[in-house]
Amino acid sequence: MKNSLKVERAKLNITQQELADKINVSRQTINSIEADRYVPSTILAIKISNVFNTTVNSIFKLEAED
Amino acid sequence: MKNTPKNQFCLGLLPNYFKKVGLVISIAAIIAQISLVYISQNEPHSLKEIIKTICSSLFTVGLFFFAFSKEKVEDEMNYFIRMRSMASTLLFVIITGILSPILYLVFNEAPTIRETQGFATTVILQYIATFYIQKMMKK
Repeated sequence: MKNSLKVERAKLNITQQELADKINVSRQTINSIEADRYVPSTILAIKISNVFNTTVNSIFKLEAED
Repeated sequence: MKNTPKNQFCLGLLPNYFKKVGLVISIAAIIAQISLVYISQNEPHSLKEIIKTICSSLFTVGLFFFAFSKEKVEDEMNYFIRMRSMASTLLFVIITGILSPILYLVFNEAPTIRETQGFATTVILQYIATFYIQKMMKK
């Protein structure tokens, strides 16, 4: 699964820590999601998309092997 | 989310301050055990053994508190890493369980209380090591 979290974060000009604080997770979790080392749960994906005022599908994209 | 079970990511872990409590207990137990060698030259052997057993039990309890207390921010990724650490620790326990009777057959010795205690400590240490190594790898 690919995601454009880093791009969305840059658009809003917020740091990983600020995003983490908004959705009550650690900065490491945001870093792992951005680096594609961790796939968030549906709940977390929705929370992230709510912060950026967009849909889950526009941030998280399935790849061929998924 | 209305239908989300509230305990979906809950493992019934101890509060975060138990990490510090656990560390203090473990370090105190190590210091007590080391100082026992130097201090109690004149103490009877049985008393020494009792203190030694209590110290190693306290060390294990301290490690347990450290391992099973929440991180500062306990989120779903931590839950995921904990599950993986527990799985690898379980594998370690099963392999040890399979191999130890063979080793005891070879050396013709039954496990003592100290060895059982040591095993419990090793299991918790294995869990702590796996958890923090995986956490570091996720950073």
